[in-house]
Amino acid sequence: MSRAMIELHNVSKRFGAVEAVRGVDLTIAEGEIVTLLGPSGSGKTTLLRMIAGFELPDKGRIVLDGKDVTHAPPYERDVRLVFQSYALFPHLTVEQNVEFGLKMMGVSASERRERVKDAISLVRIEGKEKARPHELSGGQKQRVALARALVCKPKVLLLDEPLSALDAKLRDAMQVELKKLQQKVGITFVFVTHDQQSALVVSDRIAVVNEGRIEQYAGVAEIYHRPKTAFVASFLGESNLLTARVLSRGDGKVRLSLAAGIEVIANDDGSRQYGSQVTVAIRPEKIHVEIFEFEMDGTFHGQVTDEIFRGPLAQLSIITESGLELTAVVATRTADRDTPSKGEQVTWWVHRDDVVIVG
Amino acid sequence: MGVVLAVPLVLWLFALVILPNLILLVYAFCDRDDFGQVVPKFSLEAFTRLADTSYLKILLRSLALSGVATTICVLVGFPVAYFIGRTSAKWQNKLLILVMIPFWISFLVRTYAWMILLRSEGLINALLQYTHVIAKPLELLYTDFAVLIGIVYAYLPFTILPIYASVEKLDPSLMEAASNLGARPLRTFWSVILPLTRPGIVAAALFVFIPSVGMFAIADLMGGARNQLVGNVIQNQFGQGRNWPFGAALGVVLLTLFLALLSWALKKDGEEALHR
Ligand SMILES: Nc1ncnc2c1ncn2[C@@H]1O[C@H](COP(=O)(O)OP(=O)(O)OP(=O)(O)O)[C@@H](O)[C@H]1O
Ligand SMILES: [Mg+2]
Repeated sequence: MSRAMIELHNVSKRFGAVEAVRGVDLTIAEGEIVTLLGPSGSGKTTLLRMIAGFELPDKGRIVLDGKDVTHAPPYERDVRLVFQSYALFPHLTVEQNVEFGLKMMGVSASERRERVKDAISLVRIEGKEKARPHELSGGQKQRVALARALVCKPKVLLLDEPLSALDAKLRDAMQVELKKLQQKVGITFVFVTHDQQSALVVSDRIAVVNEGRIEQYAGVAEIYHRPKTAFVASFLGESNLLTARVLSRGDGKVRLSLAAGIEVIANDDGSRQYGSQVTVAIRPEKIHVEIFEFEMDGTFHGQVTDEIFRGPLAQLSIITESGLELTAVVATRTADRDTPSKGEQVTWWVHRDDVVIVG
Repeated sequence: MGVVLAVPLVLWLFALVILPNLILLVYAFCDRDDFGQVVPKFSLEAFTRLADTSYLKILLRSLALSGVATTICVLVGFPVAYFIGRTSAKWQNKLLILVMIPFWISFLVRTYAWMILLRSEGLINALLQYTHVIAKPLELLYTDFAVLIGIVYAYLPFTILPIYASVEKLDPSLMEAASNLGARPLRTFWSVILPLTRPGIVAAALFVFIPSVGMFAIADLMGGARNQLVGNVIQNQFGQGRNWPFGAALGVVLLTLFLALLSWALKKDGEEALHR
């Protein structure tokens, strides 16, 4: 991996009685897109504001590109923030807004004109150069805010929920655009969102934030497939969170009992001291469901108690004889009698790679 | 419905603003009899008297004094208003009440208080002599300086309030955005804070400048006989001078000046409002 661009060392921040950020350690590499994903009030904005220099951490250090900036004022950091509210200057035109940062950096007038033009075409808002912010739509404002930050060619770009004000279609388009843009300009992006879909589409790595702490920091696929905690498993996508009893372990495997007569095998990652009780997470789409009844090692029976049709997929609620309740997601078939429907008996099983011990 | 609701306002404006000014305009073009009574006969005499340079001097001096007072008021009022506008809502109300406390005390009482402070045997001189900063008392009262203090003191709250109103509306994230884009605090002030609070500053300046040009009570009490302002001259014409047409003519001149100033400010403000 390339060198570290942003390092947070044991950073904490408290507002009165609220511990907004608690001992966060985070390293973001140069040219990476990292998403801070977490529920409302988990401390994401506070983290960004500390990186940008608007809040002073109570404890810990912030290092940007190898330089300790913990106490540096915002205007001395090579970091640009795209505000959630855009914060465009209402008294300036689009062009002047984009030019603002270059002026502050002392860039010559001719170079400014060049770079403003490039930035405006990069985010595709040509023709709006002379408009004032109040004359723009939400999506256009966001592009201007993005251009205003990008034109400075900062080492780091921070984006605080820049897509939250947009409708779903525009948001999807902008997500893809952002990712392309990042690959084009090669700047380190830190993206804040509580929308897990954006996080998956945009990021190289995701840091799941909960109550001021980072619960897990890993690549997109790993976070999705191998969540470390129950919170991560349920916040990013959906998961069946089940209580299990450890029956035996060895040979890199653990044998778990989910309910009477339902024993599954999971990978033993060896990092946990198993008590008699553990929590496992199983993604609904990892549960294989077959409409025929058959017996094999590792297959179980159940009854469909509910079925929700969702276009290409159907969500099934399944209950076993021993009372275990599961949610499964299956592809809808062309002939609908092939999809298990309410009241039907089904056979299900799950692969051991898909049973993840989360606590 | 909307028209009906506007009726009281229109009546009020007509009775208390338009009608008096029309009367003023009519008087300015009237003649006087030998006893100084206004007679309804067209005359330009009042305006020819305006050509007398001594009046022009007094007018210019009044404008200059008000200009200086306005500048001081804005320079002092802005930081105060900015500070109030940026503190927590809880403190804002308390500080605003402090700003308005002088209004609870009679204007005359407050002016006399200043006179007591500034007199030769007043508090300020006594203190300076006691600490041996000066040997003889300074002549503070009955000077332009005293009038300036009086005006600034009287009108400062009127500067603070409109500036406060525009500071309070400022989105703090705009200042953060400027800082994030590399602007040092002074640049942020010039490039973001000042342009966005300009309507409040212009309003504040007009609130001081316009009433203080025509003001006579402070100059009367604190400026003494030598320091006449245009307000004193006008007041005099309606009093001992017994020359109402001339007083009215001076009033018309001031009014024209103010209307020009106001329409310029409104035009500027209108352009700004379009950009918001
Ligand atoms: N200036 C402040 N004063 C007091 N409390 C604050 C301040 N800023 C944030 N907090 C508190 O700190 C916690 C974290 O806030 P933060 O804004 O970082 O959350 P967030 O993860 O960005 O949430 P959201 O997704 O809703 O934007 C919250 O409980 C919030 O109330
Ligand atoms: Mg936030």
